Amino acid sequence: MEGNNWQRVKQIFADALKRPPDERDAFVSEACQSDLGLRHEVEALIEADEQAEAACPEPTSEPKWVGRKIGKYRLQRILGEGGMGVVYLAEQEHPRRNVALKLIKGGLLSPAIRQRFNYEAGALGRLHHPGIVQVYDAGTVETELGDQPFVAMEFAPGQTLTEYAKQVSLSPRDCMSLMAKIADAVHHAHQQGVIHRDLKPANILMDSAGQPKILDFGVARAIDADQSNRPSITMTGEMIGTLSYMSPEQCTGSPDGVDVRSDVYSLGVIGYELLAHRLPHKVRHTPITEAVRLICEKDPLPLGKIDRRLRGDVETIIAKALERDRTRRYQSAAEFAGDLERHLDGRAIVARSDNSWYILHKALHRHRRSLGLVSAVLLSVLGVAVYAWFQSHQRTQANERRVTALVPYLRAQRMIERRQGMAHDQWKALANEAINQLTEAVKIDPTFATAWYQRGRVRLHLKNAEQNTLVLDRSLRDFEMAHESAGDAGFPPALWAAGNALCAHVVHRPIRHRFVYSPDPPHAHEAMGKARDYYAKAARLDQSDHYVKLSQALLLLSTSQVPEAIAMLEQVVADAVGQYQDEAHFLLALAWSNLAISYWYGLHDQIDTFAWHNPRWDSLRAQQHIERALELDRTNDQALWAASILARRNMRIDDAKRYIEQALEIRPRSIPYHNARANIHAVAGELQKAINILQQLVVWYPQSSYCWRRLARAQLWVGDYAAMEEAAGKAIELVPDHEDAWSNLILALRKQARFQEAEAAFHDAINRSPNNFGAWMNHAEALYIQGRLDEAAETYARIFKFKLDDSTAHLNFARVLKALGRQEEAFEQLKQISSCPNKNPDITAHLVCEYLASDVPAHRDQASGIELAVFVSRSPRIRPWTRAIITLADYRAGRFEQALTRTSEIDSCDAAGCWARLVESASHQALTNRRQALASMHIAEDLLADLTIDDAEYTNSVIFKYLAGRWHSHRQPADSGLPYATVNGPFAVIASNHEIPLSDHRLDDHPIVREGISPCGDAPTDTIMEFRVKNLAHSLELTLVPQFLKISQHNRLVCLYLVLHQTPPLQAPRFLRSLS
Amino acid sequence: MGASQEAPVATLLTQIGDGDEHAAKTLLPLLYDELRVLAHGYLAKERVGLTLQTTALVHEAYLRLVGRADVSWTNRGHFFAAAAKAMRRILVEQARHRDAKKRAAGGKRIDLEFIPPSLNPFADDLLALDEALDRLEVKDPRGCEIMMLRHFSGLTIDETASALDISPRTVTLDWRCARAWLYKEIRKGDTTCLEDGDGR
Repeated sequence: MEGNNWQRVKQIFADALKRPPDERDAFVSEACQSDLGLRHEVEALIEADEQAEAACPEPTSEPKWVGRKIGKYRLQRILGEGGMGVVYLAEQEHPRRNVALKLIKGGLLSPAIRQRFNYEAGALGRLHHPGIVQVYDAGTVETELGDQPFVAMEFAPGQTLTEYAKQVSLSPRDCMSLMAKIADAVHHAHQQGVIHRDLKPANILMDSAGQPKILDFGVARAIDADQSNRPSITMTGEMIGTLSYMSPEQCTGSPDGVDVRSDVYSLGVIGYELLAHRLPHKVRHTPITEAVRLICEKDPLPLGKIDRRLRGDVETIIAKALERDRTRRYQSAAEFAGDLERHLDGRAIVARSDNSWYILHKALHRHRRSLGLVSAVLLSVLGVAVYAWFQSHQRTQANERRVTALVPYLRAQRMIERRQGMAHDQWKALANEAINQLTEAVKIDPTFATAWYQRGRVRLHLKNAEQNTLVLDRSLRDFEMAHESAGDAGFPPALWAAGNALCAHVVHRPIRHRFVYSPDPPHAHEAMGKARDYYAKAARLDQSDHYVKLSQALLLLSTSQVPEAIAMLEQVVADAVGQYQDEAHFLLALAWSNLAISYWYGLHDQIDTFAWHNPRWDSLRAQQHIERALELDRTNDQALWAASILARRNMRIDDAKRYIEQALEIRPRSIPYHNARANIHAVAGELQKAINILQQLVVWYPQSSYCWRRLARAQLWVGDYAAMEEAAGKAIELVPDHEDAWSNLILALRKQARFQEAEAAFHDAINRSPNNFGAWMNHAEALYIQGRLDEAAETYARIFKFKLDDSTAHLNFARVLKALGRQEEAFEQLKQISSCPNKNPDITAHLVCEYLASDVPAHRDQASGIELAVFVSRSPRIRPWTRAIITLADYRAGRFEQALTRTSEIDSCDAAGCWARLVESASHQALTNRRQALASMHIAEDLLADLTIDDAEYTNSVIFKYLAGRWHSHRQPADSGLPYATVNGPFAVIASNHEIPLSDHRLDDHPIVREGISPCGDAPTDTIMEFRVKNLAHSLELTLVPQFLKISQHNRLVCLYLVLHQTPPLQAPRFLRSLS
Repeated sequence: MGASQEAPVATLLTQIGDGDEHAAKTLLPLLYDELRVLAHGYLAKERVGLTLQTTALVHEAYLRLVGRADVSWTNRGHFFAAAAKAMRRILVEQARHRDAKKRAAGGKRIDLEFIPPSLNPFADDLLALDEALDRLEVKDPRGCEIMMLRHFSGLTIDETASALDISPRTVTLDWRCARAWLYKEIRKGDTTCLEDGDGR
């Protein structure tokens, strides 16, 4: 009934609204006739509608303001209306002048926005440019409706560009020169830090002299508190007009926000529209979402297809401004203006500079007269490089000698260019010939810097191909000669090359800057220092050379100054964008890939300094960078290499293999790439394949100490210690000072239980470099294994004199101290781990383990353990055992379900798997899934029985101690030197902590188990006792229960209760008897 | 703009269009989360004011979740209907939260930061609006739906008309009627509220 009534009310209300307001009353009273209730309701609705309407006015212009005074402005008449507000012609009192006053719609502003508005307004006042409408004043004035934001600006009579373009017929040339003026003005604003964000013809005024003046600079931003500049979809009507000129990143509200390149895009649209008399995308009469899709996904029709006259440069320039990916656009309005002007002058435009033929064409066209036929032929043969030289040649009026020297130089040049795809021996002969030619050239003209430089490069290339270190010095001399012979300006590329040569030499990498990732032998520091000097000098001479800065950053990286390096890399990339049009793609690709690796590197080793907040983010960024680099250049082997490394780190093994194989197609004998490939196979568990690769490398590069060292490391993975010893020996033979090689050798000897030889090697190593950390660590470990615990402890103390913050050292020292029974000191060492800058999750897991499951109750610190576990679990790649430890943290935090989820992911048959089953069992028990708890426990037991004691990976782990306890009860392990003193009975503790039933009868009478019980029994907490008793009761191990009762009588009641409730009836009486 | 998220939502919308009720149930919490995250993002960064409008949020959610997938207008209507529900829930929660804070701060007024201008008439008491909408839904389901689409999803009259497949005229009249009724209802509520005092 009410529904019917409501329908009537609605009908009358609707009909009433269609009538003018003053007729409504009469209509309603007639329509309702005698139904007073109905009439009352309709009238109330109409009244409410009026009030609601008043409270929420539809945006309209407000003519009533004309004639009023707003602040110091008297409004004369409405000039126009836009999405943001109404523009009035207004008269200002002091100084007396006409201004255009814009009153911003949107009414009430919060204090925060008002503040921002005022701030932005200040910036607008700083823009002074003939192409920009001058803002005199902006701010807010109080009115009866609240604070009203306004902008007062130069009153520029004239028409908008839209109208102007309709009236004046503009030739393409006129359009280009007009666009250049507009872009120039936009650039001026950009330099002041103001982005327009709403450039469109309606915002550009044309004065009578044909000078464009841009309106509303920065206003969009000033009134829009949201800096990320989402499309203001609320301004629906205005929106479409604006959307046409919006860049894809503006349309989609790109998270990176809007920058100067977004304005460049809008300029491109304006240019396109001027030239083609249509917009690049048909967004009018299209739903917003569809329009956005068009802008983001479709390339506009090339201008040349619309008008043949626009083919070539015009088309290219506009298309470059309209690139959907802003990294491919002109990087500033100035660049855009520059190309427009270059085009107008008939010079080569930058947008096509990746095409050398095009540049030659333009150059020849311009220099037709000044160049002879011969030069022209030369140019066409040698391409851009010589052209560049030729220009400088012209400028400096090179003397006769230089011209003569050019002959052998060009001959050499041509030989060098033939290198591609040539077999090594052939190339070697050719390279030597090229060196002879270059020698000839510098003999004729010793000031021929480029020839010196080339000779250095060819020599260096030979050196790298053959690993012939002797040639390095000669190359460096060539580079220095190149620099010196070039006069005052110097020759920065040569310095750069020299720095690269040194870096490459130290880490055995091909020339050119590379990401350097291995720590270096002591003598390398000197080389690196020299390289640093070369770079610094080159950077001083040519501050705009980003290659040099890139190398400097990479050098920082190689000396582990990772955050500094990354900051620098970011800076380089930011600067390089826009400065290297000719090589931008190459540089970017290079920078991105290097940057990406550095992120990876940071993720790996500096986890808590900058990847701490969100490691996944860095990995994601790296991924983006690499994808970008590959997009720019599919054949960029470095990017492929980086992609491969990243894929491996994210465990996308197949991708990793594919990328590295592509990289190897480009550089089939590259050491780092083969090394990366070996690593991928190693991660995939294909250890033999990895070793085969590394063995191939030492066949190819028998002189490379680096390759031998890698091989030594790999032999460690498979446990072939004899082979490891051999490889390490070779590495030492080649570079006797390399610390890693020595520590590998000591490790290999130690693993073969040749302790005396290991000790001798250790002394040799520290004679060469006293602070060889690896050597010290391996020596200490050897002492520990031999049971020389006091000496081991002293050794660690010695290590801490020169290396304070290594988490592995703290961990190992803690183990030694534990074995010595110095529990508290051991705990102190473990606690140090959490403050080590290079703490890695796997090592940190030991501290977690100590907090959660220590033998010593006082060490247990559940909260810290759980907190650290969070840190550990953030790392994308941790060992299975570490993952297993985290499950314990879940269990302890009472997150049983999560513990179960995590444990279910660990299904290996090793110690980690065993541990996972134990936690799983405990979690099931906590969730009272008794059956599953027992099932998991049995699996754990089976796994335990199958594990071997020399599971070296886990020697430090609690699990190992548990195992040791068990095995010790049966037989003496083969290596009796192992310090079983560490096993001071954790077994029982673990058993109680993890609710392991003590069902192994073989352990019943074992002293270790008894010992393990008694120390904790001195001051048992009720909880522990309860656990123990509960477990015993569960597993019906009644015989052991009295032992506990002897230790702690006050658990008798608990026990009694449990037994009565949980033991089968038949056994209960027997047990009760034993209690009494 | 996770690509992984795009497709499922577009598919969900099609499923809803095919009458799959389960899909509708899946969509709501998804949208709720997305919008809440977006809204919090705005608030957290103090990006308050003009652009902090439900409309912008909903459209942004649309771009993020559906993106450029090809979805018919009717099915888009399902999206905006669900978004309106989610948005309403968020606003009401926020109002409750604010109420609690207001009480905690000893009745100190806290600026309304998150009210779409189109809801200005109701800005003072969003909770009352929420209750009144419930009553309206019983009385006039279509009016309620239009109200929701217009104010919580920020659709224009024309867009609302396409989403519901009715004429823009009908939308206008129904909407004004619903708005007037709500306004009246809430004003009525005002007086009762005054009697109850602040200790509600």
